[in-house]
Amino acid sequence: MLHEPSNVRTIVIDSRVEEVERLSTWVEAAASESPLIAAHSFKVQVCIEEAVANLILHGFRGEPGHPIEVCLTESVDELLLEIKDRGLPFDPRNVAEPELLTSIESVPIGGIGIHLMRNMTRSIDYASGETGNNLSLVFADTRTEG
Amino acid sequence: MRLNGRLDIAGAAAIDMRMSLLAGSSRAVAVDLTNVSFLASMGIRTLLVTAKSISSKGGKMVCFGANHDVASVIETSGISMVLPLKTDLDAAVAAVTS
Repeated sequence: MLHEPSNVRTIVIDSRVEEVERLSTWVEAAASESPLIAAHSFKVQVCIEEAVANLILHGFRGEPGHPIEVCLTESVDELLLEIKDRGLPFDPRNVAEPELLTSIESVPIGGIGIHLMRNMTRSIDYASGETGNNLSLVFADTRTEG
Repeated sequence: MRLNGRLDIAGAAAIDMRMSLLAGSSRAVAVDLTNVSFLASMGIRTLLVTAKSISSKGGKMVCFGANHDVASVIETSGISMVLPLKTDLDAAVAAVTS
């Protein structure tokens, strides 16, 4: 469970490939101010890249001019990443896990992004409605584990 | 082949052509990831497409030198089973020439 939010950071980008790197810069700046974000910085950047790249290419079919809002919310021991948009709905939870790779010839090209998101987060949630789509990813604070 | 910078959606698109040319002209390829600071699925896709193309011609491709974060993406993605990640150039050369 998330505790009461103590700090929320938000950035809005346009639905263009060139904008994606700006999100990594934003996460790195936040990481310099927050040990919790710093602990998950690389995984957060990977998950943002996966989700936003998918949105730009498929959710908006490569069309620029659509806002994508990204929020990071810190609580006591968890970090919540939310990606909000009004593109075509896509629930990553419905995508089947890829099969175990055994040979280079049989490797499917695609589907790895969602696999990465699943394995880098504690949980994934998704909602779609009149107000748009909201993808929520929770990162657990490894400092309090083990 | 030495790669630099971010292998994200933009970085992968920027090297796709070079990697395609490489796949068409080489049979034993070691890809140096030492200076790759970020890797996500679009970059993995580029590596896999190249490795599959080389493999289809009887060749082999391996990667080496990845930093901790980049290596963790490769491991988590599961592609290290089919696209080996070596620690250094010597190990990579040994792998592609064996």
